[in-house]
Amino acid sequence: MAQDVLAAAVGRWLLALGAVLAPLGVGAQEPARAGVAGVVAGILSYTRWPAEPSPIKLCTLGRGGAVDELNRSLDLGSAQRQVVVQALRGSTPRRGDCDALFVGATDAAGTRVVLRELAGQPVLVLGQGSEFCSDGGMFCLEDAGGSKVRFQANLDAIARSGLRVHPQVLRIARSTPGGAP
Amino acid sequence: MSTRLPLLAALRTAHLRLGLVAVVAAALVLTAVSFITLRGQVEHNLTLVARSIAYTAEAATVFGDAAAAQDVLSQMAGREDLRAARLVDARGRPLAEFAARSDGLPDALLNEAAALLFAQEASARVVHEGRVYGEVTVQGHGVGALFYLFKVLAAIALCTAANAWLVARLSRRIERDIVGPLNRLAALTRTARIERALQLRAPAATVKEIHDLGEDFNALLAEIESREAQLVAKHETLRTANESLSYLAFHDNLTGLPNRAGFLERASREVRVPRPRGESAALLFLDCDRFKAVNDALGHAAGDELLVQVARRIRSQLRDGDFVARLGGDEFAVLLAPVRADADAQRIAEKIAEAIRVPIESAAYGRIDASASVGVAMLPDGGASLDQWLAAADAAMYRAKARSRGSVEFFEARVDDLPRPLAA
Repeated sequence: MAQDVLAAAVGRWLLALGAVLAPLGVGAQEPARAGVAGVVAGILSYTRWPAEPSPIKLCTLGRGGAVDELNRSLDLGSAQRQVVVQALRGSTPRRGDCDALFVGATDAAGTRVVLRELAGQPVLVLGQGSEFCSDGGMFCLEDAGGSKVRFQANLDAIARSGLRVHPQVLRIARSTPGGAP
Repeated sequence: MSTRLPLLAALRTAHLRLGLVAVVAAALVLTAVSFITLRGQVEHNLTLVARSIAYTAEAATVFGDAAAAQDVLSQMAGREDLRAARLVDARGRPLAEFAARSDGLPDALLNEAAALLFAQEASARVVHEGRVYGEVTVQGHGVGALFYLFKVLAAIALCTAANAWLVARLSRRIERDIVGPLNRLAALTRTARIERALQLRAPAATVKEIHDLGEDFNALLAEIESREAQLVAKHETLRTANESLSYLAFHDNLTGLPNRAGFLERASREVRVPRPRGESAALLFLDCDRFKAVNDALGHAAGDELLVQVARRIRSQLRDGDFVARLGGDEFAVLLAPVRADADAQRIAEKIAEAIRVPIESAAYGRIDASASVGVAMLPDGGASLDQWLAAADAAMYRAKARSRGSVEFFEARVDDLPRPLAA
């Protein structure tokens, strides 16, 4: 249809104009983060602590591909908010050592101990599997096939911790069980 | 100028042009300003919509959640009445897309028209913590703006119509207040001029200048009327004076008879007037006998009375149409016309002489004997000059006086034989 041809022409023209006016185009970006590291980085970026830490100390506990991926990650933060990753050797993190904790593959009992320990504290607790959330974890990540990762949120735990998480993230988390591709 | 424009038409045209120029100028400015503002608004609005979608779909983009992104996009694009919307991630892969149900043909045409006038597309990047995660591109309808523009144009058309209506009203008012009175004034002037109806007056008018003009015109008419009345009066006086002067010039004061000038005027007419066959005219010259003696013996007053009585007696013997004049001193002349035969003239002349011979009984001077010698000359056939006729009568009169005082003598010789000039 002539109209579509015209609209397309106008669109191309506008895009060209936009490219000229704004050298920082979409195509010039660093590759988007994906996988577990990407989701963790996203949740971190939408979380606010009562006393803003700088840098944000992300601890990892346990083993597994996700933990390894996180430990290797160098760009979980941004220029404004840096994130450092620290792998914990002991079973329980000491108070103040971690602003966020990612729990990998551990035994269920150990996980519950850690979760009970951190309950009510301003530490963002992330894990894998929906049982992690029912045990008191705040966000639980699940493999959705391919490289896609989806997550659920435990609103009670988040509320008790005193952390503030952006509602958009909570909405995505809620929508996740039903609607992920 | 070959054709003259009526005042009303000139005024109407001027008003119409003025109004049209004003409306069109205002309309152009208004349209331009509206269009520029609208264009800016449409563009701004589209950009805002794009930004707001980018913000709302930020988390979904950051987490690469296509379902959530599609949710946001559909919801917002539908609410903002967009034609199409598209959200791509940082690598340019589509994350969510929206397209309104396809337009009908009129809508499509309108969109095409709107696309020529207004920005149809805007985009906004999805940025989170300094990183670009994607880009939103939206396409607006622009039809609403187009309708607004149509409304402005409709308002302008309405203004133009209102202007025309106002001009028509104004024309009617001008017709009533200016052109009507002027036309009436012009008609009045024509009537006054052609029919000389100077008593006409212009009616009062609403507009001051026209009223003043009418008043001035009325004053002028009044002046002309009074001048005309004066002129008529003067003319009447002159005519009367002229008549009396003319009477004096052609009449003898004493006897009341026409004088020599009056006689000559009448006689020359008698000479010229055409006559039926068998008709003629006779000229009688009378000279009072012994007039000088009466004057010397009894005084001028007696002489005057003698002349008056003689005049009266001559007149008493004349028919209608005959004419008597006092030529001066004791000389009288009588014109008899018409006369059929010499004998008729002879008879009248004898009767006149006889009437004069009766002695005059004057209260002041007693008995005065009077007589007059009479010479008669017929107007010659074939015409003759007045001089000749007069000379003939004069000659006859002298013969009568020489023969016997108080007698009547006929001029017998041919007129052509007369020496000339003899008299007058």
